Amino acid sequence: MSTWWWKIVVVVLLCYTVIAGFLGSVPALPILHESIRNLYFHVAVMFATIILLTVSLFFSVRHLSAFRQHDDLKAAEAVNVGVLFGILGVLTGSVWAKFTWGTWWVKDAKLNGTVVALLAYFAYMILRDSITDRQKKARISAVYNIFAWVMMLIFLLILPRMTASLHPGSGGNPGFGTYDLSNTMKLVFYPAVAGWTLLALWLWEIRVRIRIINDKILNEKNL
Amino acid sequence: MNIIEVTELIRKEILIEFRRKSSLGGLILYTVSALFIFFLTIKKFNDPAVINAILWITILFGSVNVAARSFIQEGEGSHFYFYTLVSSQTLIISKIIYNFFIIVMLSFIASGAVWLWSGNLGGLPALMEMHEQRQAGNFPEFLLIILLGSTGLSTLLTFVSSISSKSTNQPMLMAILSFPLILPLLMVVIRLTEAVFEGSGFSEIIKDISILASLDIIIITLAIILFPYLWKE
Repeated sequence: MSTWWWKIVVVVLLCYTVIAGFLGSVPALPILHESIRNLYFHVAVMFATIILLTVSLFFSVRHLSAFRQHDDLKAAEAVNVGVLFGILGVLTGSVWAKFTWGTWWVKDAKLNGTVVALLAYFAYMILRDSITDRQKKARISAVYNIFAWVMMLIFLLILPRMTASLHPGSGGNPGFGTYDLSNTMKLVFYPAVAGWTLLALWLWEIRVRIRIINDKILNEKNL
Repeated sequence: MNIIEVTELIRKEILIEFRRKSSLGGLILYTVSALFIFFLTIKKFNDPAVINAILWITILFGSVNVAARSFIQEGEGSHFYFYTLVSSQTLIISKIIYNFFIIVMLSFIASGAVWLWSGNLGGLPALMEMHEQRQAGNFPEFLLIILLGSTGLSTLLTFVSSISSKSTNQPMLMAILSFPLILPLLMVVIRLTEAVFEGSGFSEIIKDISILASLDIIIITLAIILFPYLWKE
């Protein structure tokens, strides 16, 4: 990721998302009205969260199967950034719920699943903090990360589909992307998903680099 | 994995259990007194929906304490000793099976206490009434839910116990690591128990039972695959 051009793409994509997202035309729909524009933010940020947490899973699995330097750091930082985006997703979702469903929060499988997944990843951070030995910390947190990811997948994707749910894309409700997304909105939605995901990856890359440099400095001091 | 080794390890657990009887007694007392607090503080203790949630929350808290004993109470020395004797999978399977029996026992004690205190209106007494009315009854369904629920609880909590035993603040980590992961299982179990309290037969709950069973299988598979990575030092 040492190339730089994709960072310009991120900036352009996000500028486009914000400008076209607020000024572009959207279909006039009952209940949703203009709040449909939140699709470019809430849904896209949630996509980025799931992608980041999956990146973290990948590095945790690789840490356990074939030891490579810094894999554990990469997994931990991917969780940090993923949780940040997850919180943003919950906040934007809560605002959206207020203007379409009438309350900030409803007892819904998908919403609660998101919170449970966030709790599991907060627990992951605390687990990392409470093990002092570095090798041990890396291995044990990798194991927990894999377990948490699978349970998150169950809670987010499988259980909501089996119960009644207000949230689109579960409990028999159609999801947005499938057949009812207008073509003008698709032109903003897909770049928005790409933009937010790449922004998350950019943040992750910077944080990993800072951590690696920190490690180097600490090692030199010890020697 | 070796069946003889597993049974020997379970025998060892039982022997240790009988040497410190206070440990098991403490667990039973913990469960019963927690339920008694719920009984005294919650007005609607005869509402099946309330009882159902309380029953499973109490079982969850009791099970966390059951599983916490399995690795935390053993010292580092005995860990190394077992490491030289048996494979890691044998060890985790024996601990899961042993904890399973203790959790099932706790579940029955908790159900009995709830049945005793909830009066004649809802919950398990309703179950008994239905049992008389419908001849076939749905106690077998309730038993099946307890067995499947205990399997998942015991596997996940034993696994988390082995994670938290490596850290510095064990009791707190045991709770915060396991609560988010156990929630899918707990919600399916609570929904099933509610259906059974309302008198659903086996054919009506088969879908949820299969979800619960597949959750159990996922948890068991993950625990058995991942445990060796925790174990090697």
